[in-house]
Amino acid sequence: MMSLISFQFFVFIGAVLLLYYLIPLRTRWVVLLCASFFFYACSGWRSFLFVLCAGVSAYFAGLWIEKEIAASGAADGKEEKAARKKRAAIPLITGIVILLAMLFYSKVIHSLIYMLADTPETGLSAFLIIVPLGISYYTFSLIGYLADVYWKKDRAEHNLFRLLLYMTYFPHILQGPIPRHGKLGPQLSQGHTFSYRKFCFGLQRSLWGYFKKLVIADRLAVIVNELFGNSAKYEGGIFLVAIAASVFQLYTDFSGCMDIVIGISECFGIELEENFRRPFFSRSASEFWRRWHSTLGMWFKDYVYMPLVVSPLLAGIAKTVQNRKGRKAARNVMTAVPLAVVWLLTGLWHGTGPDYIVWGIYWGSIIILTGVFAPQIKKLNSLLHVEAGSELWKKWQMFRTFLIFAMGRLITAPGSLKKSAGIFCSILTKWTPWVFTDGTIYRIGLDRADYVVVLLGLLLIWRISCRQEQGQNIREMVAALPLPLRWILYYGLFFSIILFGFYGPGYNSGSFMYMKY
Amino acid sequence: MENSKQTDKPIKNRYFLRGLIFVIIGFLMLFCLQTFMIPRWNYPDFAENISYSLHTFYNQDKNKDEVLFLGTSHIQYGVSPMKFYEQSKVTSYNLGTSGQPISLSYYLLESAFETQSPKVVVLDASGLFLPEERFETAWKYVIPCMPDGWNKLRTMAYYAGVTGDRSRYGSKCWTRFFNILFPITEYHMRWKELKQEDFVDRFADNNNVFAGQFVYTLITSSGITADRMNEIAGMLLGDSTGWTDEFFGMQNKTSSEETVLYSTAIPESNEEWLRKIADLCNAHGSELLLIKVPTIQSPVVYTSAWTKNRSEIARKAAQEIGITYWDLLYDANLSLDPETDFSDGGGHLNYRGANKVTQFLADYIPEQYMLERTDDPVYDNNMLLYKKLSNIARLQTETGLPEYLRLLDADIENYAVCMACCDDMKAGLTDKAEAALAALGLRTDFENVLKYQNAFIALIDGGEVIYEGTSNRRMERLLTLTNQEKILVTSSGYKTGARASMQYRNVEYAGNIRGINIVVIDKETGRVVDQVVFDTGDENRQTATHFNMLKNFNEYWLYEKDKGQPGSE
Repeated sequence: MMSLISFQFFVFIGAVLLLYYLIPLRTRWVVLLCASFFFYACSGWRSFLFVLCAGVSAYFAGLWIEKEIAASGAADGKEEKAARKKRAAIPLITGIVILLAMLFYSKVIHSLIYMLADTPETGLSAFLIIVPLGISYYTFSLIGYLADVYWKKDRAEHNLFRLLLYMTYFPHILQGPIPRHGKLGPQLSQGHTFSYRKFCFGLQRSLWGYFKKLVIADRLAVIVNELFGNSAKYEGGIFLVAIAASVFQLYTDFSGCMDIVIGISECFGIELEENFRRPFFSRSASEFWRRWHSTLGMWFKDYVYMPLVVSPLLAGIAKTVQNRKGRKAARNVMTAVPLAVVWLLTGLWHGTGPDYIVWGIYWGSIIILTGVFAPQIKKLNSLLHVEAGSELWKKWQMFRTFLIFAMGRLITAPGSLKKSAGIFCSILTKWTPWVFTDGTIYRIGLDRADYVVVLLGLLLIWRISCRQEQGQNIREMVAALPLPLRWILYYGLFFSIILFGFYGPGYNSGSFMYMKY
Repeated sequence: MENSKQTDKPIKNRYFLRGLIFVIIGFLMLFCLQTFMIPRWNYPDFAENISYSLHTFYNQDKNKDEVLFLGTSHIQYGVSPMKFYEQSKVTSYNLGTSGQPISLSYYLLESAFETQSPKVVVLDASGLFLPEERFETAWKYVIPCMPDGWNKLRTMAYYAGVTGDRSRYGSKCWTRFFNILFPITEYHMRWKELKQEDFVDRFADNNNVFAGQFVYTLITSSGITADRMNEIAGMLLGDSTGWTDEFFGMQNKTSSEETVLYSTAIPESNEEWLRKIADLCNAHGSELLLIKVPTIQSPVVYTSAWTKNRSEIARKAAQEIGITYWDLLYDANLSLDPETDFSDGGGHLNYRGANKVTQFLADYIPEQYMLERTDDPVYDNNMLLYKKLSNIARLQTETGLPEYLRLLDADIENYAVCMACCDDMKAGLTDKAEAALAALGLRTDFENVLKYQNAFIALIDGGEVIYEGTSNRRMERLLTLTNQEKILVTSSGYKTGARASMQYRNVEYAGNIRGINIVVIDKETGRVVDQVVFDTGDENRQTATHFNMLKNFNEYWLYEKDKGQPGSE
């Protein structure tokens, strides 16, 4: 697989950009398609075939849905229309089932073969293991596409290759964002003229992403891996360092990757959806998930939550509850059940292990309970004379959300529920505050200089995020600076990556944390 | 198409130019930065100071060297260009580097021919048998030191191809090429350990006083003779099938496989490289001489052991190409002593062994190839320091007490010598040794006054005896050198603690084992240059144990360069 942090990738991206802007406008999408195919094929030809199968299935399902929908529009009479609409659901369900089956095969067969076979690296077992790059991302994109065609929010793509491009577009195939065909498809298909401004903005954004990933995330990964990987060796307060490091590692790794892929796309003149909107400024769990990996949250909202809310089955259940327990209980059911399903699925999307299921339940419970007990919480706040609008209260809410997220990391980051529980107990029962002063933190993989780099890096991110929260456009501000100052900034960022980044021989910085999904 | 042309108009020349300038400045800064980040390989005891050696070579005047020595660490340790010059007045340079594959020898020679026109190129044959892909570091040490240019790029490309894990042009190779082209990718984490010397001296006129040789004074017996080495090799060559018989619970499993314990085959491409080197020499009017610097080590522990089988195969390869071959282990009588002339169990020659080899070559090569013998001002200038260091090296490799004391006496005005007895120094003290001690100016009556298991302390500074004393009780004296520095010396015989201590600049230097403990301080630099114990407490078995302070002589030279900043002490 071609890593985003490799010599090959830089050569590849340079060649693709050059080619893209050299050939005629209307054929530029072909360059992107070939580049995406090449990029994908680098991860293995079997994966590539697997992806093609998924794409072709979605393509025909989309056309079939559109045909049935068109037929239902042309049908006479309400019953005829309804019958046609029902018939359109057949290709929709078929398409979704095929896509989910492929996702299931890829996710489950791997674990199954490892459970059954001694040497899965060889023979038939190895042949059967196919883990296509970004399978969760493109599967969700295609399901969204089919649903949008069914709901007439989008038109079916009549060109198979354009659909394949939408599906495999190389910058986003690794970690998202999960795009909507209606928004991304036309952008990919139409050629873009070279815009110096966009190109510079794109490079700038990518550079920022590499900074987050290589300077901060990969540096923090050292202590996270050491402390969670060898948790038996440590106890007490040192795990607080691991949890905090793991939170910032995940953020800088994932958002860094998003900056890289959005930046690269910008160089082609293509705008991808934002996936992060300063999540640590969130004041509640639900706001957090609107800011963190927002395209996944939006996908679940549009394609799971909303269909569930309006489903006749849930309406029936709510009605029964209303008759027995009253309107308030029915409203709670209407809120809680879809949310519970969404969070269970979100947990499963992140991983099939029990830790991820618990993680889903954890987040689901917090969000559901916050919704259900909202009136009581409001009452309690007024009893305690809490000024909801005060800065202090807002800061506390942000800190509280951070703690909730950190607790969530404790569930999944150590690798198993047993480990997580052990670490949690160790933090509560072992009082070891001296680890922060006796030099222990310098013996877990990073030295003083590394911590300084991490802290300065996080401080920089924090300052920029604060400005962005205040509505300032940092990129425009930078663009408005005099040329020498701007160049100093760019060189500074570039050389800080070169010097302080964790990359090169001996470092495995090629992979991103969200790439396994 | 027309539409495309219309929409591409915003690509302004101004922007293009600006982008180009930005990239060029960026690259310049990057290359500048990585110059400081690459380790100089000149740190004490590290990679045999390849960087200094090669930089000195490339900074030399053009067409200076008459002879070039090339090959692995065997030749790097085993041939002294300074001794060669001292002996023959012929200038030469040693381009040997650790684990140098023959393909790297070729590229080094190619770059050498850009500035030098040696009449003779001497190549050590051990590289012929080295699988070139195995010694990745050999390439990584050398390439950054090569002068920038087309040849360096070609060397990088070859390195990337040959050491890549996949196919020659696979993705790993590109990554390796990228990493060697921009070594900062590998060394950027050194930002934490950068020192002043990483920034200064970088472009200074390097001057390696040893002309590329790595002087090593450690004496470690090879433990076997050349005959025994060949005998063992014969056993290994006859055993080509490995088998294992195991029990897993009740289940018995027997397996066998073809494994080579010792190989005498030249890897496929290496013969071709030898031919290429010969052609390259021909093209530049140089003679190629293939030699083998002696090593004697068991093939069981050292896969590069130089056996007769290898020697014959190398001879055959040389004959086929039409070049002269001299095996200095089997063809020449150098009187090498496996006990004292090797540094690391027979793997490399030490200072003594290197002198014997160089002497032979200095007699043979200029005569055979009719080389011009001239005085070279740079070599003559270096000779002063070289001789001083040679004297130290001789001290460090001397194993007999009388001889050692005579060497000290010959150069006594340059040294401060401190002695302390531990346990006993009387029982095995010979008349010769007593005479040599007296020659140093010591007045103690070693025959009658110094008794069995007495303490003894002496300090001689620049030939002047500052203090000497003996006692049947523990002695502790704070002595002052002529430069006012202090040494705290303790000596006690067996009955009073059996201990010797010599603390100088707050560091303990005494070996603290039975016999006469000696510490030698270089008066000019104030540096301890030798630390040895001669066990004269046993009349039947006298041994010398050197605790070498200057295993790495380039370290001393660096120290000389930056006076007052001791290296590894």
